[in-house]
Amino acid sequence: MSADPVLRARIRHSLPGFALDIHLDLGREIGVLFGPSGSGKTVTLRLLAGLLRPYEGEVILNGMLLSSGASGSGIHVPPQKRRIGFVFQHQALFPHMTVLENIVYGARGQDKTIALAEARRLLHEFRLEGLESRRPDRISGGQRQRAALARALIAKPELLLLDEPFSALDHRTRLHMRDCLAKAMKSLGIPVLLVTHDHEEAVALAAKLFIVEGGTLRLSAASPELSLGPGKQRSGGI
Amino acid sequence: MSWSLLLSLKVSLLATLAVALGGLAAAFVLAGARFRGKHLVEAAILLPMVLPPTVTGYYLVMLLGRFGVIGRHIYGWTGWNIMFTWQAAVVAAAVVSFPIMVTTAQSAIEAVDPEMIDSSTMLGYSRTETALRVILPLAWRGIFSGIALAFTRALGEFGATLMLAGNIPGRTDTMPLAIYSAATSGDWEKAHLLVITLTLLSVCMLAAARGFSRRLL
Repeated sequence: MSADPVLRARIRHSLPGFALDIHLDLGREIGVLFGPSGSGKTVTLRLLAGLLRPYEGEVILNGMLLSSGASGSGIHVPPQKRRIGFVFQHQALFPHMTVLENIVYGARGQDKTIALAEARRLLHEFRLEGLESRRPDRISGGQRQRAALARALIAKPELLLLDEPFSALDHRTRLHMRDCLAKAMKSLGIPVLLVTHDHEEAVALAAKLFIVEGGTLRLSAASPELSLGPGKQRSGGI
Repeated sequence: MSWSLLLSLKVSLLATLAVALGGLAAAFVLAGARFRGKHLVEAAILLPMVLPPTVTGYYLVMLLGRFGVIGRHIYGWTGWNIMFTWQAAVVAAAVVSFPIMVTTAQSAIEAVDPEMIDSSTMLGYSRTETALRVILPLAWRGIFSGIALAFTRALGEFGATLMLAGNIPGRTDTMPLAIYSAATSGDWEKAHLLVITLTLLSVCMLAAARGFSRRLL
């Protein structure tokens, strides 16, 4: 990993019955937040995205301070100004728009012709050609996730957050989606933080692994195999 | 009969127009906001739904009458007072139908998946842009249902209208007031006709409201 992380986060946050304490550094690589359900993974993503305001700590992306200080004071760049892509667990494609309209929606403020050309390139890259004019309820779960990913990428984010993006997909589609993501990441060169509670997925994708349990980051490792060895292959056993 | 029908339609349409705009804005604010005293604000908006219309009308007289809190200033500046005019019937109809519009539209807005809103936000869109491009297109059936219900309520408004606009034949006698006058003066033929017309109109509007809200589910 490079000396200076692109994303640097030191966050303390408390929710009812829950305290979160996360220290996280990530370069231009895929980081995986791994842990059991309810351990604070999604909250961590929402704090990084600015959808939640941390009680304490700071978030720095590409040298720019996005959050700092205690809640109610300090800096809090609003989420719409952070240039952070976020793919939600349930895709969140807009049902009143076609696949193409959904993707182009991500190109806010860009030249329309260029945005349309980029959308078509992404449609090709994510094997969505021929589905442009379909509504999200007329395509498969895997196609919806690929469209959601394309919509996040067309916005040219500086950080991509993925909240269990493949959890609702069957095994074969998941494998294909992982390939898609890995390929896209090679050309993007931005940090990607993916949340999962699936061990196999964590090992397959992570260049850097963060294990979260009970709101605390227990372990971060550059080599996922070291931290998730035999006998520790289920998040519940960590 | 045709005079009362036309007056009722004019009053209800204008009241519904005002309520649709104001109610939608209020619904957006209430659906997205968390602030201290929100329940009190919501209760105040709902009040005309549970108060006897005569009480709502009484408050309106206290507010807009010639010696009312606002009315006296309007009278001082213009020499005009709203009481016993058809405009007063519009105000009365708008006030009693406002809570229906707000609650229905607010429910429709709150039913939009928060992840849709967050997705739009994360793609760089402001709250207003997200409201126009994501929330409105997804909540429009509920909003239209609210508009149809508000129109139906405005059409049937009686008590508050009587207090503020009076029951002046050829001037402020909307259909419900004309029905009352016809029935009390023994003109049953006219009363029957007005009652049937009002019932049919209301059934149509309620059916439209139900149609919109069912497709919402």
